[in-house]
Amino acid sequence: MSASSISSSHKAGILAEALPYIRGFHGKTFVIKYGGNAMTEPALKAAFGRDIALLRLVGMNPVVVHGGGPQINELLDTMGVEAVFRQGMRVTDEKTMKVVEMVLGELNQEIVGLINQHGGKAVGLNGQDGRFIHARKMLLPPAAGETEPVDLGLVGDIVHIDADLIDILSARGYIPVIMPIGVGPEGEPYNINGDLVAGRLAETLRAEKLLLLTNTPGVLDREGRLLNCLTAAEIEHLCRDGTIHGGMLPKLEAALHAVKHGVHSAHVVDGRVPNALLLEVLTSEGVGTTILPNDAPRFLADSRRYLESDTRNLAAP
Amino acid sequence: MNLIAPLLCPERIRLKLDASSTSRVFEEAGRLFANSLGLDATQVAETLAEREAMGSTALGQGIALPHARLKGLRQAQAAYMRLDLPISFNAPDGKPVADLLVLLVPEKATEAHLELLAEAAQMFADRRFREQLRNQDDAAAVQQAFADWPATAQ
Repeated sequence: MSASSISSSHKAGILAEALPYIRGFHGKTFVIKYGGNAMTEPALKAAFGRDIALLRLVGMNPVVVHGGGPQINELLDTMGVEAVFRQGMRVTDEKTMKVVEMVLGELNQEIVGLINQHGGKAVGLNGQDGRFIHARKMLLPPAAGETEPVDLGLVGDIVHIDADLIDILSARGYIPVIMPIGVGPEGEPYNINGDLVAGRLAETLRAEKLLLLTNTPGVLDREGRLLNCLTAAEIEHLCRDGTIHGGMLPKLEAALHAVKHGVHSAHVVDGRVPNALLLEVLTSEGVGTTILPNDAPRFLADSRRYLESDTRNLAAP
Repeated sequence: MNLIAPLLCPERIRLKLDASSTSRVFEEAGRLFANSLGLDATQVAETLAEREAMGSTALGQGIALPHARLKGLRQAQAAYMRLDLPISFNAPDGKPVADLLVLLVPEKATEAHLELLAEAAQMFADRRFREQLRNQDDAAAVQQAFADWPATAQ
């Protein structure tokens, strides 16, 4: 729906309906992972910048983490370097790392520009700035039938994220836009999966929500139907039985990490839907899959406790 | 058909309700049950608040299922309320609540009553049902939407 195709009174109605959500989420932090795939369409990119600026203007603290997968592949392709993935993660040699840094830097400034065009005050960062993302070399467990750990080159694991820099920027009204590069003990840069950075960052910042924008409808079952709402345990089950695979794995790993460490909910959002972010945050129905901690739907457990409790406080009719 | 629809009736379906807090919502629920079944409005509101104090009955996606045991009540009863503006309800997804199914069960609640709640939760977990329900603007149509589940479900 474009803004011009709806009447003024309808627009006013939409705004009035958003007020309880704006009030409820005022001052809350939202970590948003903007995926390489969800940022290829120019109209969607512009809408993304506007949505982020708007969330900030109505009092929320958006923090953006971006990837750059397709754009990195494209450039590597042009250069005749083949992209190699193991367990959904890119293998990064030194030559690839140069390309990663170059492409991410360019995308970072583009996103900063998109947000600023709509009145936001975005600041581009990478994990080396203020050394806020501490990383070390990542080794994946051996694949089936192999004994050696999988070496991904300059791919890093997050050791620690220092929230200070982000807190300072957010508190002063800036919108941090972070590219997923971390720094090792010797000052060496590491390429880190953007989803994992977003998940850890959501934990560190005690975010209300982690929003992972993708170019899929959300988490799908084996028949390709969208799953609206899942607990951490249900997600783990779907990962184990192979229903979830490929690039969705690091996203859900990030989501699981976040909801197991204090983030209230994580959302895999269909970034192809116009204004997906606003719909997810400011309406009752999201546009993807909501992931809740295992103890979140306590409803039935509490009800059982209530129904089984003694009757001394019951009112007479 | 399902276990919930027979417990509802159009006179306990209240749409376009203007209530700014959970206590106002519970008072309004008390009035609905008082007018239609002769129950004590204040006591209904108080028992609903008592259950709510044990943990939020919000399910997420703007839905809540407040419920309470009531002494002397012979069989379970339900009411449905839709608020003009959603209110804060400590929901798992942090979102405010605008649609409420209120259930009253007899004091001696049994496993059957827990099943009732489980079925209500399952109904509202169905996105198509939520959409169907929210598209109806009069009590009879809302009653019908409840009666149609799970045939409307995927």
